Amino acid sequence: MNDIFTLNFDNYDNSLSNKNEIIETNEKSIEFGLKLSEKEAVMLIENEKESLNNNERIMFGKSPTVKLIEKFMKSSYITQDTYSETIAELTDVFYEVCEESEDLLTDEEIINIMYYFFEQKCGGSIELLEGTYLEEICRNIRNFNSGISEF
Amino acid sequence: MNELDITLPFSESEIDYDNYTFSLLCLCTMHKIIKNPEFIKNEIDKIFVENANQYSKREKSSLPIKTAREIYNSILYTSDVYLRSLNNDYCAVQTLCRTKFDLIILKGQQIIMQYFEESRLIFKKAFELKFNFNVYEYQYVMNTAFDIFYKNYSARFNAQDICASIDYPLINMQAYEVKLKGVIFIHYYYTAIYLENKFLKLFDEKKIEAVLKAYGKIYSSDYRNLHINLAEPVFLNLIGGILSDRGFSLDFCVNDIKVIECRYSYMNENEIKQTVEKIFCEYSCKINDNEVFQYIKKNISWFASQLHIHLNNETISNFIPAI
Repeated sequence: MNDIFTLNFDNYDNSLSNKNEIIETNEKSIEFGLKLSEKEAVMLIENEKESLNNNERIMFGKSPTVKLIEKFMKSSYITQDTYSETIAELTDVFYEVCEESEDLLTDEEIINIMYYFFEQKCGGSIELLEGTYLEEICRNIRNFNSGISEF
Repeated sequence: MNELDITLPFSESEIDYDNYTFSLLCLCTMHKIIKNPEFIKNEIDKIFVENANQYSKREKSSLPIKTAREIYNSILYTSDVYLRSLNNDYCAVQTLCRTKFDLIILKGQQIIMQYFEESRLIFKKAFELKFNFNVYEYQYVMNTAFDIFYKNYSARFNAQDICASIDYPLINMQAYEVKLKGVIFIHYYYTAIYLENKFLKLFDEKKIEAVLKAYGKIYSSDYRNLHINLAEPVFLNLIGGILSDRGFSLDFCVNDIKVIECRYSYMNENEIKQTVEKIFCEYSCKINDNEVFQYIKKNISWFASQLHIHLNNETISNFIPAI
């Protein structure tokens, strides 16, 4: 059987436009002393694909990596040296939170929560963000959703 | 864009009717009836992206693969509903080749909504005829399953699902053997339940319970603990009674087994079928409802083949519940 008509995840792969969008964020991020090279943009796209794959998700709209860049470029903890790596790690955390929170939060809500804890509680540590605060938030969301507790 | 000869270059047996659109698209591509499959796939993808955006209220740009599959399959199912409604493979192929896919989906959705509304009315009628026999699956189907379906069914995002667990069998058919999906399944299933309830209403409840108890005895169990259809034992007892001159009643008893053995043992399966059908038709006026009559009649063939087997094995008592 011809499998052209099955749900093909590559069909929704907007790598080229995502790469352009990532590069376009430089126009704004330069104000904060941050810039991504083409090579780093490609790495971030590949990283996002892997993260989607690891979390068994499919992307069909604007890349959350771009959304993360737009939010986190203002962070006081991100420097040019760690910029692309931090965004890649934040993308991984983002997709884990999507899964762990049972998709009850919007992309914007997740990113805002991540940003708040990253800036205010974790001192820019992704390990702390992922291992402590977000885990607890996700647990609370799940419990709230299943009626175990109040959020 | 696409060309179509008068006859299709593939046979009916090659078509997967459970996945009609997908199957036709694949066959048409393979036989070059569709010359630009990417164009159609692109149309499906556009609908998928729009539906995925609607599903996430345009606030998320990714979904779990499981959810994405449900949304995608929902699109294909909606198309199936419309194309199957054409009742003709040639017309379906012609439509696939010449109609914009979003129009096919629109027409499919209209049919689904019509079935959805009709299902509610059918269920309402079935519920009015409901019995209180304490058979868990039956009570679940009457009191809970339809409400769950009606509350949770999504014609847009998961149209192929019924959102409820339905285990209660129909006469001579397990629910899972009904090869239909989504609202079409619900429509068919509750129509059958309605007709079965209507059939059961032809008899006194105490008589029905006596038959159910007799049916339980065959399996050395209380009928309430069995995975049974309420109408099936009644149907068996009724036909047994008709064949042994008890008339249109639930009075088939142990002594009648001998009568049936004497009359039908020498017949082959086909002769039994013809005879039973002929005798049953004489009682059509007793049922006095053509829909119910036809529904019950379609089980005669199964009855005849089972009767033939049990006559050969001398196990009629394990087949027809005798009071």
